[in-house]
Amino acid sequence: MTTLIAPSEAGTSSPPRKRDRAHSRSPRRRDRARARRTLIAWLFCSPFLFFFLLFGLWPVLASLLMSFTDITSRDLRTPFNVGFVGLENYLALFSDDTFVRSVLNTLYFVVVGIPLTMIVSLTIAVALNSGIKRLKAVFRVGYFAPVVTSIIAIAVVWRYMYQDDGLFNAALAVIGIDGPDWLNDPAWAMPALIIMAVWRNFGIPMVIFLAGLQAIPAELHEAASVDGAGKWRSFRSITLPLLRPTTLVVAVLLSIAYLQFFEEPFVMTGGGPLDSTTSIGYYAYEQFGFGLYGIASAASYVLVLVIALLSFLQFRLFRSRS
Amino acid sequence: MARKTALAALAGGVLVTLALTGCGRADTAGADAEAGAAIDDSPATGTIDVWAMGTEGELLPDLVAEFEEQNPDVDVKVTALPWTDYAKKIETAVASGSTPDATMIGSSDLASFVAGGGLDPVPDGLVDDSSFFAGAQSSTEIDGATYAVPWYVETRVLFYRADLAKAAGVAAPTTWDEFDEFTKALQGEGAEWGFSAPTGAPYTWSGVLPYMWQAGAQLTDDGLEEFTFDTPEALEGLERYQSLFTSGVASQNGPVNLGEIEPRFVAGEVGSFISGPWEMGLLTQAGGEGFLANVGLAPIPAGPDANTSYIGGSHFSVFKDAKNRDGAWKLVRWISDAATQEKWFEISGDLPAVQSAWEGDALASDPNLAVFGEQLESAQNAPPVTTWTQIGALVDSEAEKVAKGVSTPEDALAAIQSGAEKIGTGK
Repeated sequence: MTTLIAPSEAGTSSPPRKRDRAHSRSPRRRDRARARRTLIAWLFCSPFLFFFLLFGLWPVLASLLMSFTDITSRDLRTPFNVGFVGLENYLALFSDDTFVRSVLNTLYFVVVGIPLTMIVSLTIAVALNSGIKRLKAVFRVGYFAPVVTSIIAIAVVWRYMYQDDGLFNAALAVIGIDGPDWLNDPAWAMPALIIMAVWRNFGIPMVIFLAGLQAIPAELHEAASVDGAGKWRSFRSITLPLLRPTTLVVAVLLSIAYLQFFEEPFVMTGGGPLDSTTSIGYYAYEQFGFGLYGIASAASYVLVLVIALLSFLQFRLFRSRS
Repeated sequence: MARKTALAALAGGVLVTLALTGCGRADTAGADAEAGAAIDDSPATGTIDVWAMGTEGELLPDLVAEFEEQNPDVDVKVTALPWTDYAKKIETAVASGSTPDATMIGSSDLASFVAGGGLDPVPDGLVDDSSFFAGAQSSTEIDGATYAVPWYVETRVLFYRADLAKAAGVAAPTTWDEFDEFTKALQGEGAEWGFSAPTGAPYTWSGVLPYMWQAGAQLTDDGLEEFTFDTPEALEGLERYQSLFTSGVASQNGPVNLGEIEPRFVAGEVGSFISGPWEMGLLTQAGGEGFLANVGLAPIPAGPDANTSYIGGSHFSVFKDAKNRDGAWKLVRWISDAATQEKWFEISGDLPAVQSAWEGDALASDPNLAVFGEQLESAQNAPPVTTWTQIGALVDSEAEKVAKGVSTPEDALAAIQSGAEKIGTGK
């Protein structure tokens, strides 16, 4: 700090010197006072710092270090008695077909799931914001209910609905389609989980979009309609561009949540059939179960990397045009 | 600037800590398998902390009340845990050194806990090893030492719709060939599937390995150092498993979740399946009182070699970090006593691991239990290697490929063998 200030002080002329003289008796005391203030500030921060370092930063660092070691369950009692293996765990991961499959599955889920969730949540938000006049609160609660429902309860009900003779196929049969055996068909298990995830997750984006929509001044739409713009035109040229920051938030939140795709396969399919719904998160969970903590940590860090990369890309994408 | 320096300092600190604490694998091969001091016959004292899972956890306090009466100075504290993730709870306890004194452990999971090094080997002379069923005792012996005492056992037998079998005029099958006719006959009486087998759900291996055993396969060498899945016998067993699906007797999409099969069995869609002693309770629940009258139980049909089934169950282990080691082993010794085992059967319905307990009135009088008793004579445990959870999962996924017709038994077995060799036996 002092080195930064010094040149500017040297450049200033007489007036400040007067003030300087008033304090010139005790430059040392002034430094000491500042040091004391800093110390007190750190002391006030220390409870937070202590817990952050111990429970926040340390586990993150420890798991990162673990991913470079051959630690397994046999090292439980002697966690420092492990060998460093460099990038071996990461190489082993990418030579494991199941892991490669789980990466592809996760990307499939993200690439299809996120746009779908955003479209559904935006559509409903727009409807709630302008179209639906009566029973607004009822609809809002109704659409938000899946978010607060326990995944276990959801899984039980949805498993019944996805059965070969379940609700979905009964509905499809009405329009003459012979539905697939959703959860037992390797080709349809993932779409089934995506549909369920969209239903379960569109509540929060919907609320965020609603907030974004309400922040758009009504005058803009009025002006547009005076200029002869239709509903669709004003949605595309006014609503969507003004929603850009909101869309970014939703996209980043959703991609973080969707990349960690775990609960759906855990409760619905166990990663099957034939590994068609195994995700990176599920793979890491399984490896932890086998006691292969090194491999599991490495898999988790691959996930962290992918999340960071995707978030970075989204920030770039949505910012560049603003 | 300051932030970066702080981070660098922190990272440096971590590395230094690791270096100072001697990070790096020292030569610690071979678990210290020496059993601790023998346990005397004086009454147990002090507090004994015990973990138990599921129903057993709920009912165990009823049993140990008697132990507390016999040992007035002892206080047994039972903590009931859910089965889900109990392994992680035990691993965490071992890692942090704050374990209970003793815990119940699922028999096929024991080996992976031994690898963690947190279990105390059974003291010499604590119990008579030969008093237990061979399959149960064998699953407690890992790397040349014994790490647990069998508590209760379960084995799998054939459950079938007796009413359908009677209508079709067929008796319970005793061989693979008879089984084929039997299941076809059940299908003739309206069952959509004559049989139901697991197809990839967790623990599918416990339904697949028995076919290999029935064909005479040995899945490891005698020293438990090498896997031997690549034998003609194992292939014959896996082909047998495949034939269940290719012949249309069993669905390629077997049950995934617990409680899925029972309603279908009650509805007559599934004619038979293989399950354990808990199934009688589940069937009564699904079919109502009296449904069991329509259910027949029979030992597993025999293959070319034997009618081997899978033996599971739970053991008791004592932790190395136990605060009351002597008390805990005394409790375990008392629980494995034939009289206590019989008492426990009356409380919980769990089948005694001690063979002589089967001679008591409570067990000898029930014809259904007799089937289990007979099956236990020829029931085998999973290879007791520390890497079994991983190998089991590998078998699950390869078996699923066979069941769903995307792999042949030859390819699946080759994949299991090469995968198992790569994983190793943990030695």
